[in-house]
Amino acid sequence: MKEGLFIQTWRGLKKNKLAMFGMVMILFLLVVAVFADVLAPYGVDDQDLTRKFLAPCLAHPFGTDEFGRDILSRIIHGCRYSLMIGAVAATLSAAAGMLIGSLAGFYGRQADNILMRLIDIMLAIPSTLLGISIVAALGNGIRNVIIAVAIGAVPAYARIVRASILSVKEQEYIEAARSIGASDVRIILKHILPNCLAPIIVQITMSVAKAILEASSLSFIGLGVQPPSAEWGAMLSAGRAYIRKAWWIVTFPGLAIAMIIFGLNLFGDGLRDALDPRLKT
Amino acid sequence: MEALLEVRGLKKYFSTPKGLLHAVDDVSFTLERGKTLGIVGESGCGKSTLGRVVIHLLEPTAGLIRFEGRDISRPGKRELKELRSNMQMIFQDPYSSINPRMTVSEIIGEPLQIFKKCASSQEYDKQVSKLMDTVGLASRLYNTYPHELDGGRRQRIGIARALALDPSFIVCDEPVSALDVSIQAQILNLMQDLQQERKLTYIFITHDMSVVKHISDDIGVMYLGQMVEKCGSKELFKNQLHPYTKALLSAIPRPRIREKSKRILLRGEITSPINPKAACRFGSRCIYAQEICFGKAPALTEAEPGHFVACHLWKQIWEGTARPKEAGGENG
Repeated sequence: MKEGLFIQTWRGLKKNKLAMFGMVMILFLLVVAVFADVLAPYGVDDQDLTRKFLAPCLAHPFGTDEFGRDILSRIIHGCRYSLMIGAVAATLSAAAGMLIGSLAGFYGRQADNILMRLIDIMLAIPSTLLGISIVAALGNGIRNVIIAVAIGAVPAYARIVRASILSVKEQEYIEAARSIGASDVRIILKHILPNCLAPIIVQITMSVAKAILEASSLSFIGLGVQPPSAEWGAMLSAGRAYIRKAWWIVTFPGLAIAMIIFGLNLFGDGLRDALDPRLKT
Repeated sequence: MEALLEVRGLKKYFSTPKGLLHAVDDVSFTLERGKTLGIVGESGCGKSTLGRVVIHLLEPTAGLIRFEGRDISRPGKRELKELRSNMQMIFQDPYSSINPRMTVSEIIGEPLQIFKKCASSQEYDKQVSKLMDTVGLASRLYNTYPHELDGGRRQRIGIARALALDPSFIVCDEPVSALDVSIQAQILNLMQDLQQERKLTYIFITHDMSVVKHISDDIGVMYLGQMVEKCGSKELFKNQLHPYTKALLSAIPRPRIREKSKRILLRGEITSPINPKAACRFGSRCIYAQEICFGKAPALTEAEPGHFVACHLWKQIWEGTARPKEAGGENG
């Protein structure tokens, strides 16, 4: 698992140009997020009302907004929000979904029935509506957005993990592990999960993208991260009033969201191909 | 000789939507230490289920299992774990029976880890290397992954894993049926050598009559969950009493062109193993079947010393007074 899987996947991934392009985009955004303070030409909240609604120019490559804030600097800082929301929400939902999916898939019968019906109930509610309801109940703020987005992503994980566990569980090596006295926990952690890893990794990449998009949507409708925070969705929302007179206020945050999601999806697709055992030699 | 394993009236039923499936129905046998009991029969006759129930990979529905004089029919959690180190299993398919994400040494060493047999990592390495040596795996394969190895080597990994805890009894579930014939012989010889060195006792499940002849001391023939005939290996090939065994042995291809062997072709439907009636389960396909066969299930009785058969009519068939219903034989 450790070396074998990693090296094999890397080899497959290297051949895939699109996936490498996606990975470079993600790495680039990561660097931007980490060094935001150094890279941003202006402070995130520096207002200069004499320079409001400036079109893109040399001093402000992405222009300025209604308060004269530099949009490039705000986008650079907004990268932190998006990546953090994406990473934390995906981790939380992956952990919860894997726990539920493992229990349902491994123990079957009653546990499976109860847990999967709960998941079905969650799936019956549109995820945006679910997110809106949760944020409305918990209140605004980045923490609650993360919780809302994470809860919405749990069903997908639970179903994927359950399905792959059901297929791996019937393999003879699970029976072999039982015959040498392995405990249930050991069987799940050492024998089942490593063999279900491929679809889970792909799902994590995809769900980071989905979480970022959903968090931005929530911010856009005013339920997520609140202005003046430089969150991309919130910037879009604030700028939409001026779209006729200053197109750059909404265009660049929108492009930033598109770029990160495009990168993650390319990378996720490439990972899925690289991890597919049918393509392995 | 002392009996290592004694099984009395062992039953394993599975509940299915259509009713109870009698996978193993009232099977009894005794196995002496250091001997091999071959179990033969067609697909779906319950031979694998029998092996799994005996070592508690499946829980028996009813019956008694006595191992080294102790009743182990209903083991507790701790007792079960202790049993695992005494009874092991070698699986049929060397491709699906080992975890593809673990290295050779991890697979072989896992039982040692679970039972905390090694105090230090040096001792662990030494033990694993010794096991690999025992089954004839080169030490350079220590850190390879199973997908790099062929079926024969993979099956050696499976054998090493089964030997790791130094068990006295191993259930071998068709250990060579997935291998090439040339490799089959290697693995069978390895298993026989190990049996002599370590005083192992085997239950050897197979559908391959020539393999079972080669390795077994005793052979039990199963049909639809029941043992229909059991005797010494040589005796079975010389003198079959049950009509099913006769048909089974007549199906072995013989490499002689001119010799005309009489093949017994079975006709008729296989009785359903779900909620079977009290009758001989082979009755519907048996060329000798008479009224009694459809009214009463035959019990396994000792026909000759050490030779058991479950057939109402074995004596008549043996003496030649029972008439086959139709011409069931064909020249082949």
